[in-house]
Amino acid sequence: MTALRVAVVGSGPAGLYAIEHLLAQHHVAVEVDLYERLPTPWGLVRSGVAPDHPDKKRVIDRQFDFQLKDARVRFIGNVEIGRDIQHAELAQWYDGVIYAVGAASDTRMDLPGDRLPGCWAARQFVAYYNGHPDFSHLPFDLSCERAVIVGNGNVALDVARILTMPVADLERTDIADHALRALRRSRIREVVILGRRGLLQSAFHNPELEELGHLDGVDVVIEGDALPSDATLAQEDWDTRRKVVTLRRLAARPLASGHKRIVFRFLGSPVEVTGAGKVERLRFSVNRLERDGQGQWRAQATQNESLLETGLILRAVGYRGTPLPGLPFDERRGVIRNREGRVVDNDQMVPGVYVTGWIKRGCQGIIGSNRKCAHETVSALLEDFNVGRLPKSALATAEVSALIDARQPAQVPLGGWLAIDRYERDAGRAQDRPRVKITNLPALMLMGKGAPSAAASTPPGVNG
Amino acid sequence: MTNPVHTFCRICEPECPLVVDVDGAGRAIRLRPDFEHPCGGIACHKGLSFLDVHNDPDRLNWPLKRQNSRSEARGQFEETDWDTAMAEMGAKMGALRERYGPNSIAFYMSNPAAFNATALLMSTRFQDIVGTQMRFSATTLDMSNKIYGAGAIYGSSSAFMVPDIYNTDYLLVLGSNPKVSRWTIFSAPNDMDVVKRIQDRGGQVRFVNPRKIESSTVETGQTLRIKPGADAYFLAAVLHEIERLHGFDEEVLTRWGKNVEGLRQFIHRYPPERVTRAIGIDVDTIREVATGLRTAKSASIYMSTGLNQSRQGILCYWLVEMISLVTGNLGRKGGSYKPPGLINFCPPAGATQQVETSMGTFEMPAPFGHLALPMTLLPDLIDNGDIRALIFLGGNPLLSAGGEEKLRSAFEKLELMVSIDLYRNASAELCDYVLPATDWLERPDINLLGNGMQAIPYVHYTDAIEPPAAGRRNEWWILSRLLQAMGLPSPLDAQPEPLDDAALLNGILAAGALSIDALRQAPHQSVVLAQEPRDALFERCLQHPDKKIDCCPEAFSKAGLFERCDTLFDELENEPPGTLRLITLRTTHMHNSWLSNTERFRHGKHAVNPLNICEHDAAVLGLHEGDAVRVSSRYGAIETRVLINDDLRPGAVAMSHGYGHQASYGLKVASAKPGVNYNRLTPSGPGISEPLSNMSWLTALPVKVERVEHAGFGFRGDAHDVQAEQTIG
Repeated sequence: MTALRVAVVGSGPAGLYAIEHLLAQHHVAVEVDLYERLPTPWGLVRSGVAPDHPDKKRVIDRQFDFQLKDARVRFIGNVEIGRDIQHAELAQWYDGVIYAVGAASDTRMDLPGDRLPGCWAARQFVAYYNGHPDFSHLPFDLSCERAVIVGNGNVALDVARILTMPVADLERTDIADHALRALRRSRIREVVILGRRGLLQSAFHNPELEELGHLDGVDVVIEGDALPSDATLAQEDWDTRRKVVTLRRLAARPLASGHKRIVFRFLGSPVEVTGAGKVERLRFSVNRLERDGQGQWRAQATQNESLLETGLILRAVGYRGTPLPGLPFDERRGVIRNREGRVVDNDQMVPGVYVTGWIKRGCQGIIGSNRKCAHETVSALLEDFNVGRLPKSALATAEVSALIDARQPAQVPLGGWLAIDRYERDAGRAQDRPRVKITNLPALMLMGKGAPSAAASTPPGVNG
Repeated sequence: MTNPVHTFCRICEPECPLVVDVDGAGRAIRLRPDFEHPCGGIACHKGLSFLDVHNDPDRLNWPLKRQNSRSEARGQFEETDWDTAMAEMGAKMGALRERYGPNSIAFYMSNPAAFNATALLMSTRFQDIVGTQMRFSATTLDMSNKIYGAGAIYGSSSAFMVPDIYNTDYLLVLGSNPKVSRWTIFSAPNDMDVVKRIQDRGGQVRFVNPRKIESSTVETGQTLRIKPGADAYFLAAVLHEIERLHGFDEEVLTRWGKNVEGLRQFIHRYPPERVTRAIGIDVDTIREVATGLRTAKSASIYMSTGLNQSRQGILCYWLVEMISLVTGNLGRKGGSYKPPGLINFCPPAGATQQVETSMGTFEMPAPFGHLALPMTLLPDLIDNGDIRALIFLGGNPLLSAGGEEKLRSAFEKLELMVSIDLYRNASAELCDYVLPATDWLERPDINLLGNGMQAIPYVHYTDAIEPPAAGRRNEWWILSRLLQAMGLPSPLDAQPEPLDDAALLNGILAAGALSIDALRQAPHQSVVLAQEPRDALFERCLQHPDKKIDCCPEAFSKAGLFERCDTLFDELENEPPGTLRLITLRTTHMHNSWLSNTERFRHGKHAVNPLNICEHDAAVLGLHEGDAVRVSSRYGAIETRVLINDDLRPGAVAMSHGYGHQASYGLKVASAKPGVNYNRLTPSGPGISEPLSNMSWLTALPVKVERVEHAGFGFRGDAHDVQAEQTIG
């Protein structure tokens, strides 16, 4: 029997967990083509996880690298579906297609003045400091004294940490060199994290909050909401109680004059960004909490407003998926319409097309959440295969290879990525860092041309 | 509606108590720890996951007969019935025995069979009745130095002293990682809590290992990272210091010791200043350990597999026992002692027998006991025609013994090869007959293995939780039936009921005035045995005719162990800088080759067995995490991937054994994630094994490591070499 041929689009955690499940089953032989629009794999583990969180990247060496190097998997880097190859073609070339493309956009706020220079999505800043080639050139201006982050999820805390922590600590990480240079010049003394609801409704998690207590030379200040009494707290869940205990501890520490500050400003929603040709001020409403119909606390603006002087505003109010031409999209949720991973259009299953990860379930969960998510999707695919619901591709592997070559001759195969990886790790070793990232596309393409010799050069001393 | 039933794990030596939930149909549906059991042992995830083995669709159910030649790697097997298989095997073995003598039939007793009381007994009887001296055993892969050493020092090869970890004030642990591997030749449940309490009560723990092991934490104690294979010199130097500090208890030595002068002469050759460079531990640290051992109110020392397998197991064991003795810690509370057991007797060693072979004459004990001929000579003895038939009892020597390639080509020459196992594993694949054994949920059993080595002595009985599935049979029955088929006397002659193991078990239990019925009525089906005074060992275990402890057995010098020790020291001392030595590494996800077909233990990095190397050595070699590397020794080469692990000291690299399932066609999960066989790197042949103990050399091997290109690494149009790739990725 010929192998089940599957295309996986996107080489982040969602795609790699899907491949893990495809390879782990013993019912049918599989061949996987893994499409990645960049020359580098790992998605947000490379370009999203904060550089000072190396433990969160261990999943690459301990897990994803095994899938990527499996003989049944072919990495096809620098090929973008929707640009180089259309969905309809891909669907014809393979027995099954799994989209694991993540979320390429962010939730917009449509705030007056938010197009002024100095107002960004936090997603852009994260990709910038992590050396994503599409974002490396962005001109972040860190010459102001105060930055404001709108939203208080974990991304907000990551960004606040990077903006305030000692640069010397970041110099030992794989943060992009251009970001290091910018941070060395930074004049930011204070980062305000603006949350529309109260302290008890804050979105960040405990480990991320607790980390702030360990930053050298950084104080944490709480504004806008009172620390709740023990009696109020007793009704909250364990996570919330722990958060409050941490916040109490952080707020009780004496402030030092030379220290930078992270200010949690609760119960505030941005109203308007103003400035002469660039961001200078953020006006925000002071909110109070009201119960909605479901008993959830909602933020309600009061008449009061407040003003913050700032030159840098980062919107961290959520990532959002973008439509793929040819696939049914749920505009409200920002996902491709699907049922348990099967893509559905007007309640009709689109044969052989699947989704997993954020583009399937929306932007929530941690890296590991994608494993279970992918299991559901791959189980659906395998079930469809077993009952004969998959369309059988008429093309052989070699024919597909020729078609891809015709569309995008400048592919980066696995060997190309390995050459990039080796270069980055070698450079990192010389500076006592995990790696020094190549952050622009031409350099990545040059290094990742994929000449086998690039990965084969034996360093001296090996044969000794 | 489930019914909880008591049983115990039989994967490693604590034999942790378990509760099995059995459903209305009599099927085991869940295993959980027996938290209330008096021994306090809490089973780990290996044991708790055993239903995956029990229910594995790859398990053998009926005898298989190979239809094609053994020169073909992949066997074509057909199921047959027991009577046919027995008749054919019996006729063949009977004829070989007739024509070439009993020694033409060799037997390999594996580690799993030791966790089966009836098989443990029956395998010895089987070999006795067949009359073969060609006895091989996993003991020569993991601990036969202790069996030999105990016989030489104490006069009984079962006089295994154990550390009194519940009471000690200073614990020195060498070549052992109890958090991951538990203890061996010592059965102590709930290990790490007990070890943590030593520090809590003001005591100290030191581990000696080339790797900072998982057992070593701020709550237990630090690891002294020694060079691989250097432990004998460390121990000698420690003794040297103890003597220099007047730490020898002359009263004890006069009362119980003999040949003490020989010991002194030996240790005088290895003062700390001389050994420090070769062992990689500084003089002050050696002195600190010596002082710790000497001045602690009580001190105990324990050594295990890392030392057993690194060529000088007998001497290491001897020095460990001597440290206990000279510091007065032997038989002291908190020192080392011999716990009571079901069979509370240490039979005297002494009588010997000659085994004449084409590879020379071996002097072995009579009876053999648990000593065996060197596994390193098995291929030669087959090649030379000494051995014509070979029976594995639960064994997979292709993956667990040194020199896979030599073994494989030797096996092809056998006239009959039989495996008794749960699985058609790599070695069984070459067999003419593969016979389905029971797993430990399918047979009644007692925890015989831990007998006399338990920190909390107790006897545990378990019923078969489920009847054996399909045509599976307990090992004792298979061996007994095989004897009948060969026309030899068999226990089944007198007791023809094929599935009744009770008589055998009751026979053992009678030694402790116990019975199955009595144990069935006891809480947790267990009876705790009373502890004896710690110094009872002097009465019970000293079996030399003069009731003395031999502090320098003459056999050691006669066999040249001391000259060998000097030679190996010179090798270590003159090793070129940058030499890498490979050590074995057990993980929480593998146990020899046992759990290789269990999906849950084979995820992610556990899909393979990588080469662990520290960042320093990796940088010198230009290696990064995930690189493909070729690891080669004088004896063979393998390719695997790199895992950077800074727990290792520079100069030591580590890999797990039990992998390399490329030709394990009967194991679907394992053959899809084969890993590579560590034992392609380890030696086989004459002159390899340790004299007297016949221990193999399986760790601390010098290796070369070099980066290699991944074959056909995803480049467009390249042919994928699936076999080669899978060993890497």
